[in-house]
Amino acid sequence: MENENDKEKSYDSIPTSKVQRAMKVMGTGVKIGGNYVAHYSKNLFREQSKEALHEKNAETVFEALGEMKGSALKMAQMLSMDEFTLPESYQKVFQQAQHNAPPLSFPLIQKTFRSQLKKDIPELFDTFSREAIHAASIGQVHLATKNAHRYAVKVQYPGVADSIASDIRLMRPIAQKVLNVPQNELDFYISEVQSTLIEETDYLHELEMAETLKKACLEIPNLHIPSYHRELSSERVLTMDWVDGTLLTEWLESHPDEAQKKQIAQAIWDTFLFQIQELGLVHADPHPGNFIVREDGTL
Amino acid sequence: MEKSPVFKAYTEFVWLNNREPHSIAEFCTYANIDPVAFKTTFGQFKNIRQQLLTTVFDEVWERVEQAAAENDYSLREKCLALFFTLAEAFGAYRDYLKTRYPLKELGALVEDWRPFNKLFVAKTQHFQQNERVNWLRDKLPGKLTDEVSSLLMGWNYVFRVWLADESEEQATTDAAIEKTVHLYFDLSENKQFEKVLDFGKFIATTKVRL
Repeated sequence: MENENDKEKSYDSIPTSKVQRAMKVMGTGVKIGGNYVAHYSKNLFREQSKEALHEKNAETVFEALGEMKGSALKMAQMLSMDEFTLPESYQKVFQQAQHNAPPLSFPLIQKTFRSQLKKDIPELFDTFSREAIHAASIGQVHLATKNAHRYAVKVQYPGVADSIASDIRLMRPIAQKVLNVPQNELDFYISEVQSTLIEETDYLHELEMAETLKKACLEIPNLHIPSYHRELSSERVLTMDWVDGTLLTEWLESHPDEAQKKQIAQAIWDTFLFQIQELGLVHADPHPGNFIVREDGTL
Repeated sequence: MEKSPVFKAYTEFVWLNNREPHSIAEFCTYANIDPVAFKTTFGQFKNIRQQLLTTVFDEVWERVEQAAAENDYSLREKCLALFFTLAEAFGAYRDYLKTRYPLKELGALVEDWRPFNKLFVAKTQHFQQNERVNWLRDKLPGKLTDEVSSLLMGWNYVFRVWLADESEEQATTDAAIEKTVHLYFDLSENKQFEKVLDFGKFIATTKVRL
């Protein structure tokens, strides 16, 4: 089993050039081939389930995606949301992409603040967590405070915007051959990932959309959308109120009672129905990692 | 004579004209400075070029030391901060540096960088914590180890990436810095790397070629 240091090491190094990223994809293909060889060799002596092989392959693919970050990881994240496209073991491993990822160094975070907001972190916040509290496909989240108010500060990984197109091209054969995703499904995902990613790399666009959504959804019961802070945000830094709670998937695993589940399901239903029918705008990234259930049972 | 206006005038001249000033007189007229004072302080253009680089390094090092104390940096973080801050500080002279040091000719212009390299190696020597690497360094000729280190090679690579980096806010350079510095420290801490060095040491002792 991989130890923590190895994991940290592999995540610390982001392959940036097209060649490096292509090598990563090729290396992943070779490893998966190895997994198949091991699988069929073992089968000569004893039974090994196809599911176990899928799980091993899923871990190999996820490891490579984790190192590539950006669009590659985002594709894993989106694939994990569709229960009809992927074997269950892939879904399980890829779900890690929804709320678990690789850290950037603190000096780079400090540098990003200087270049993006033209200020050092202590000029903006009283405290700021050195380590990322959460990580997503294109950024990581830090906890900051100012005058006892808590903020979630998302900082984007460097070079994400520049690598989108080449990542998508590189990921295509992996998605098609290794994951066995049908052609029509693949085209759908690829165009979806590409357009979503391009929008997602502009945090000011995300801020504007979130503010619009918050304002429009004020009347929906049991729904709370955090406030965003324009003065503490830029294209690559996004600051919003910190929200305490449990990620939706983890909350479901804690076996809440029926009434609580109905309340949350109703809030999600009301929110998306309102967006589709009234607002004409839809939250385009509704994976479970983006939903938190608060202690008072609201979403 | 204050150095910073001279740096500004010189870098501006080189960038705008894509050449060195033909003479001290031409430059002093352009920069509106006293030629006698210039000769006393710098003497020749090579000294401007060298001192510009070492001045940037000194200023950056001071900032990094301060940040390291304030943030309780590990050695790895201090090294990352050094690389990021150097790239940031050189940003003020980016047009000049791209004009003066085109990628293909960078190697031939090493003379300009010699004092910078010495300073870099001296200040960053303590980043190397691997005893075997340090043992090996002690065995090498002084002149070589004063001006060359694996971390300096890492910096040279990052500088080349930075020169070629057209991405927004030089994001590719940021990624190159993370990759280079982490590789340097990961290798230093890697037991396998130590074994390779140990084997190299053994080969050297036996005086039998591999």
